[in-house]
Amino acid sequence: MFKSRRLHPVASITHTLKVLRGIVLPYLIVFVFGENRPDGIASQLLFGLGALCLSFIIGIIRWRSFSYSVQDGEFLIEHSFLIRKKRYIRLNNIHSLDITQGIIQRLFNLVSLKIETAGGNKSKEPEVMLEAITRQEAEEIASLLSKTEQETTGSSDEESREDPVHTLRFRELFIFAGSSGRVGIVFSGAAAVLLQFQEVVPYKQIFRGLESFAAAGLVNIILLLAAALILAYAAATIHIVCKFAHSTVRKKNEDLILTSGLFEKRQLTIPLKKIQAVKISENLLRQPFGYVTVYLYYAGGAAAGKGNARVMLLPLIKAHQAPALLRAFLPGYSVEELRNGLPSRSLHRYALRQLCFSVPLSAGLIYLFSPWGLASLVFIIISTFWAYRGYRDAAWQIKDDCLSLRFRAVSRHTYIIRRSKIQALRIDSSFFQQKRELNSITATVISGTGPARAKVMDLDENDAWTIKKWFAP
Amino acid sequence: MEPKNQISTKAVQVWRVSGFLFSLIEWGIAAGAVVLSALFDIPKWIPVVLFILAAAGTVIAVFVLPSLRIKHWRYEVREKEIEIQKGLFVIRRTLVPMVRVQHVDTRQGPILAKYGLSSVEISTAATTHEIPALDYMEAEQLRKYISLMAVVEDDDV
Repeated sequence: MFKSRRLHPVASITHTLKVLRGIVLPYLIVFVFGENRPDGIASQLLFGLGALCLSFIIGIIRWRSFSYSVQDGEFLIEHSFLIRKKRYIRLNNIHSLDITQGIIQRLFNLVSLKIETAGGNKSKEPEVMLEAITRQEAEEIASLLSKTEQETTGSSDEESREDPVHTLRFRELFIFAGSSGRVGIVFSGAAAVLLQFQEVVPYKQIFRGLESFAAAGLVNIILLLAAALILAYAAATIHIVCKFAHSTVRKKNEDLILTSGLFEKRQLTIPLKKIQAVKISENLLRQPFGYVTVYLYYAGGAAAGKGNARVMLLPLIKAHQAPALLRAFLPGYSVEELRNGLPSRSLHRYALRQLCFSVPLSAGLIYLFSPWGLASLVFIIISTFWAYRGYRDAAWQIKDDCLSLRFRAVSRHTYIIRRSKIQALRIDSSFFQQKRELNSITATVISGTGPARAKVMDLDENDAWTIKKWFAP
Repeated sequence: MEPKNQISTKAVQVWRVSGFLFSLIEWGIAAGAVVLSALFDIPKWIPVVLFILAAAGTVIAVFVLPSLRIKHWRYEVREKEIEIQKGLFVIRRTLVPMVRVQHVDTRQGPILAKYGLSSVEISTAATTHEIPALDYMEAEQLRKYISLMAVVEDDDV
């Protein structure tokens, strides 16, 4: 606990440097290389000096207007530069403290302290950055923090049972790779690479050769395209096979350990309590064969790397095998049949949402291109089917402290979220929904880079109410 | 069963001012179009349309939206959760459990300051929720109350 403090005056220098870094490029563009640049070295220097002074003044103001304190278990920072802003962070929410020493800090024997809370990386800035404080001050903050941590975390139990393990089977690895639909990526990647070598490779000559080849007939072109497609498909498949070969999940004590890779092995350890949600996805290619993909959302924090917020737990698994495995790996998550669907009166809302795009599109095409436009009726058929699937697939279920929400975008997604991991629950009702006593429900969870949302549209109002009551009794 | 509390009625004026300031951008674009059409060969109807749009935008931003926005704005801070309701045509009701709250900010821009108001921003690990335009003292009290109640009871995150 301590009263409001300022940073060390050296902070004004680091602030100044930050401002300078921001203006150096625009400055160069306008005053040095710009068309209306001032004539003569002297006036250029004068402008440069002016910019320097201005940034120094800003640096000092920033330093003067910033203060921090720790009171009643809360970290408080205040700055009143243009906008008066206070930020309070409870000490036991602080995730990590990072003490570093840059060149400027080293000159004055100071440190800079970075404070991060979970999911606090909406922007790339850390939650709190104390640019220049003495080492004693930094240690004082760290000791305040470790005190609160000791109060909250209990003892860790060291029981080790037989670890559940699951490895992706060979056959499934190939099905997974083959049905992943990443051919497009390989194609565009190849195109980008080929364009890079435009200077070196004599494309003109190659194409001239091709022209005579193409002239020989349409069949040749089709054959050529087919060959390219197969090649790209094979490349994508091999790439994914290499990446996901030996995909294994192992549960060890309170951690899940994920390993995969043929040549380049990757390993990821996720503590069970960092898991925020489980998502079971069925894409259009795999659903008919009864295969699903299971994803995990977890709070990685900035330290664990931001890209890792969502990870494939089981790349491919038969839908009927998933529940038993998930129960073994994720105790506390109930994986059950979702029994509560939507009331029949919400079907027409699903239909309207799809048809309001496809019908005008179809009508326009039919009007513009007389006989062939009729083919666009297929859009209406697809969208009707899609709407019906969306309506049929939407479902929810509450079991103990788990909420399951299922909905279809293109793939069908089932989110399973524990109550303690739902950051916010939103219930929407538009004017038209109110008339029919329908609500949409959205549950938000952490997923590292930003929130992940599970949304089921047009639930019965009473069902939405039930979920709300369950969430906040 | 709506949330109990309304935000300050002065919010309407704040939104009118900010709506007006925002619509100045549209007027600026329209004025720019006039200058451009004087300099270059641009059809005369383009600036005219832009002016009509700017006028309509101003009317909507200043006279229509603020009073509609405040109509459904309600909030309630209970012991265990915060409930916020807002929206124009789609009414969104958000529940945030107290224990999920990570930090609370109060914010006061120049317009809010002029009316003696302040807004409260409640952040969880994944979301941010704003209660705009509360009386300065009320915002401070709310801020204090939420940080007092929102003591995390488990190490979930």
